[in-house]
Amino acid sequence: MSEKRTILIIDDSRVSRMMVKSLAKQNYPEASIFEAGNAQEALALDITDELTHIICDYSMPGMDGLSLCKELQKDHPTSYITLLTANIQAAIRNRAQDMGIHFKKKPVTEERILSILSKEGHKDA
Amino acid sequence: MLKLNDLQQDMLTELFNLGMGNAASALSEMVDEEVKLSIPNVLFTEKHELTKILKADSGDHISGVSQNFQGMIPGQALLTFPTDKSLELIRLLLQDSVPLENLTEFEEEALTEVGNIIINAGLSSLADIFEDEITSDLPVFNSGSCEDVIGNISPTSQKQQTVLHLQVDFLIEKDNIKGYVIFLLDVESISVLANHIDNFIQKLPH
Repeated sequence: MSEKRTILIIDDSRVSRMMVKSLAKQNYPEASIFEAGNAQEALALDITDELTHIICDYSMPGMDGLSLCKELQKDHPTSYITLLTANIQAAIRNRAQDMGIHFKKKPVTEERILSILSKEGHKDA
Repeated sequence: MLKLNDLQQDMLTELFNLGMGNAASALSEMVDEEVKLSIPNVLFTEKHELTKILKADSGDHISGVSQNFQGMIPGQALLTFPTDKSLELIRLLLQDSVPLENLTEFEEEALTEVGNIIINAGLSSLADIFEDEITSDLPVFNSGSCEDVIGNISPTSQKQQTVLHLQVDFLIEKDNIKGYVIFLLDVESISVLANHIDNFIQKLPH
């Protein structure tokens, strides 16, 4: 049986968060989903469950997505972390890769979200 | 006035074509329809001419998303479409994520995200080809007359009158939604870009 998904979505675009959330819920109705519109909000969330998946935008007001992921990795070392971004430059992709962070380009599509959420957290990371 | 030679201009058009190909592919995925692209229009122009160009193409009232970028070539990018088509576009984009009656509530945010994705798809391919990096500010939504929108995206218009204007028209034929992606590079950027292009051409096998 697949593990229950506990997902944190960080994106300053409410529309993007909504699309990710809607696709996650359609495919994993039992999932617990947390949302944040920027790094500050994400770091202030009081999440006691272990996050299986973190899906994070790159360009946001304040701290960028990769700096945030670095912080989140400390508290959630087993989470499957993905940078989901419109900034698809090799420079950004390489930085993510060096940090052990997965990379998916926007736009949000069902195929992309499923390919992230089908990974069982740390087991496939 | 600074000009690009034929080879530089040809290369720039090709690069822009490639970048906009990426952008069209992103838009096509978002709306789940084929997106047709025009041949890029590359010209040097005065800033005040932009309003005329936009008006001729889009009518008096446009919505647009602009983004400033820095790094190897600083400039501004703008995605515009006629305002009366914007709801149609986000209906395609959001499909069943949002109930139809709530669509207008998300209009600005949805269009901003569309602009962000399209503009970055274009910028990213340019940066990758030159093996450099372009950083961009957050996207800004503008809606109003062509004069207002152009005025909002060009706060430095007084000191950079001549710009390199790169434009591609896109068309979602089935729904008759037409829009434009415009990149504006100031004169300083153009000489940097010309150098990048020369270096790139030199590295090609002869």
